[in-house]
Amino acid sequence: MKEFGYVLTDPLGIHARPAGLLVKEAAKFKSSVKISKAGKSADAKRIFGVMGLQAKQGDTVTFTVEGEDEDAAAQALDAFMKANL
Amino acid sequence: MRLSDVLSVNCISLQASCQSRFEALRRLTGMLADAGLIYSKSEFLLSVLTREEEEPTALGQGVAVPHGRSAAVKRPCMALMTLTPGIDYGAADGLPVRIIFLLATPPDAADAHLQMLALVAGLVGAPGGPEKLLACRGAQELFQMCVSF
Repeated sequence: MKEFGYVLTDPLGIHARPAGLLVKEAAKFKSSVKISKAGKSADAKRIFGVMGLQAKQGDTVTFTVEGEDEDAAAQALDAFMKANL
Repeated sequence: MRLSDVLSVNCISLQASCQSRFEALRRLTGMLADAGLIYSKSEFLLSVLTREEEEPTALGQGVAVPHGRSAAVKRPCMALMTLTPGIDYGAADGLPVRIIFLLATPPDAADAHLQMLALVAGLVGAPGGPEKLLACRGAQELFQMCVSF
């Protein structure tokens, strides 16, 4: 299992567009990907779950990745967050 | 924020029949204007269409969340339309859209926008969410369903 945190820098937080892109990115991997904020957790492969977190600028989100390609997935998602949020 | 803070029953249209995404957005904008929630239909609609140009706002499962951030918006609010039949919305899953939540926010209300998205996500993301919304017979029933969530 791999876990990493990320502090959101985008002033708009995880709104519809990056949520859609994040879901697409997470879906590329076989591993399960969870994203959580302040104790609330969601499946990062489901857009409604991600949007339900209401993650805004300054919030810390934690990714928990588990599966055969967890290393690649964690790396890719970390890169995605840095590039988009 | 609760759905009842941003959605009123007079901004709900059930089983509308629209020829296109544009027609649906125009009618949704009209509902907000009639409710006195936006100052200028054309200005607000322009902000919505500009956003649509960037990337379609269909989320999958027949749901779309078009939105506009504009000085023409008095306060964070939304309008809801269910469509029969569904319309082509360029959704990634290829499904026609039958539920549209049009979100409206003034320019510096990023948090309110996220809160509204989260409310919509909770409503339609629950098991059978879209079907439950589509099964409502009238605006009042749909409104009650939304606000009691």
